[in-house]
Amino acid sequence: MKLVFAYIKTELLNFFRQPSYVTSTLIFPSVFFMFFALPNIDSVEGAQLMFGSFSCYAVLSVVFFQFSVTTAMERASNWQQFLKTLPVKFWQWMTARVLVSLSFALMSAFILMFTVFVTTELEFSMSLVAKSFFALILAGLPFCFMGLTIGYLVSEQSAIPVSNLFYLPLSFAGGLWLPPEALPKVVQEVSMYLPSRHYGEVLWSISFDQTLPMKSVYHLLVTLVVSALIFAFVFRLDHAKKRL
Amino acid sequence: MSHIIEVKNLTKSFSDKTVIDNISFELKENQSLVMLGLNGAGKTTTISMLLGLLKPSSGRISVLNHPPGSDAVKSSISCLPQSSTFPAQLKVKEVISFMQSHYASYNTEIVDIFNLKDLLNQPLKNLSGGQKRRVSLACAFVGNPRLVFLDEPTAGVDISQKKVIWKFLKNYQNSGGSLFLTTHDLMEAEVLSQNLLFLHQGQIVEQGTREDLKKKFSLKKVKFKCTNTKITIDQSSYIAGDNSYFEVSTNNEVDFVERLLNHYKSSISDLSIHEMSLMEVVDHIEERK
Repeated sequence: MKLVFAYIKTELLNFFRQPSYVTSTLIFPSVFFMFFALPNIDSVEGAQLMFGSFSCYAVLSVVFFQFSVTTAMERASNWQQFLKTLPVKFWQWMTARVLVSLSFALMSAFILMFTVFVTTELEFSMSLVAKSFFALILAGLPFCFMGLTIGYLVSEQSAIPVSNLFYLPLSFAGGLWLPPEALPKVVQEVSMYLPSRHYGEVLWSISFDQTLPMKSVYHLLVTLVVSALIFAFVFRLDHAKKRL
Repeated sequence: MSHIIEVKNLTKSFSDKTVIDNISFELKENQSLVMLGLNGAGKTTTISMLLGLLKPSSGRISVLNHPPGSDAVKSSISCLPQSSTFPAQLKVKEVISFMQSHYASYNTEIVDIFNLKDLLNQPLKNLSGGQKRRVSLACAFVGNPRLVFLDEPTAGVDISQKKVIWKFLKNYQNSGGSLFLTTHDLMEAEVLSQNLLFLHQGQIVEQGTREDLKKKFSLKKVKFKCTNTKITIDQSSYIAGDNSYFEVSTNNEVDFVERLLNHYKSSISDLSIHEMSLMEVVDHIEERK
């Protein structure tokens, strides 16, 4: 684990010394919330719903979008090539990357939580904060693997458009920008098959202090296994291309 | 002595372009091998394959008796890439600490050896090219590796620092380490090489020990001063260069000097015989190509 922490420390230092990158990544979901969600919130229930939606969106934008783009860019960089020559196991390096990505996602979600707290009447109990963060991390894992898969499949030039191709529809059709009932009929039907919709369902249930929707939990578990397997396959393919 | 690197019939092609064309070579433990060649000769591609970063199109590579890039190899080797690879925002002390975390035991004197004490709190982005090179070298040697791959180790480094680095690399070799390096600096090759390999358009045009290659390309240099500006010995004519000095390359210096003295004994002064420098050997090889 010592090596995992060394990688986490190095990545965090590297990111935090790029204030423009950090600031834009972390505050973007909150800015988005203030522009598009806040004007339509007129009750505590509305704030609960939008907190659930936008906290999922905050995590998705980091672990899916940012992760896929930085992975594609770093794969082409001398730094990543150099790391491949060091005595570090793949799982150690990958664990560090996933943890850094999740910690960024949580920071973004925390800023959103603060924004919701300041701008709406929603009260945050310790229980709500703890449950939300716990669910955001665990249920966010499938999106980490999806982001990684895209990062390993595409070149650095095509990483942004390809990631957007998946990330924007996942966010919109998953009901993370608009309440699912406000989506067009055909999108509502598609929505039920999207992992982002089930991510939202889990967070909405926590936000409204309801029991967990087990159908969504199973959906996310299956998505986690499938996305991890696909990533493992893509990674081995990428590795086999280069190695003896 | 066992082979630390074995390469047999190695070929690498990108699309329809063959970059490395059927090369074979070996490096014994506690030896150094310097790969020379013009830009685009295939030196960096070869190093990338030896590190397991690129898959050969055909052929076999063994590093420390294992496939390159395998876990068994990685803890015993290190590399210095051609350009600085570390994230520019990191400070020197953070980079060195990061590298140390990969090894159970590490060289605690590396900061002093490469004279980095004053730079420890500096971010890499503030360092000059030569300073970055010293940091990269410190990182390459921090884990006490058995074999180090160095891609142009002193590129951008001033001559006084080059000497420090060469001294360190010689000491490293003397203490049992092995080096595989590429360079354009022939003085560096002269200082560090035991074995040389000349790569041209992906093919090996010459290889052997430094002494063997010098012998193969004759060569001794006979230098003398003569009152004549032109001399002829056995139908070969020579013209004086700077300050009336003649410089003649020959593979039989004793015979040449004998004949020279027979013909021009009274006009000759300042006669001396020199080993050919590596630079002159390289000139011969390049002329032949």
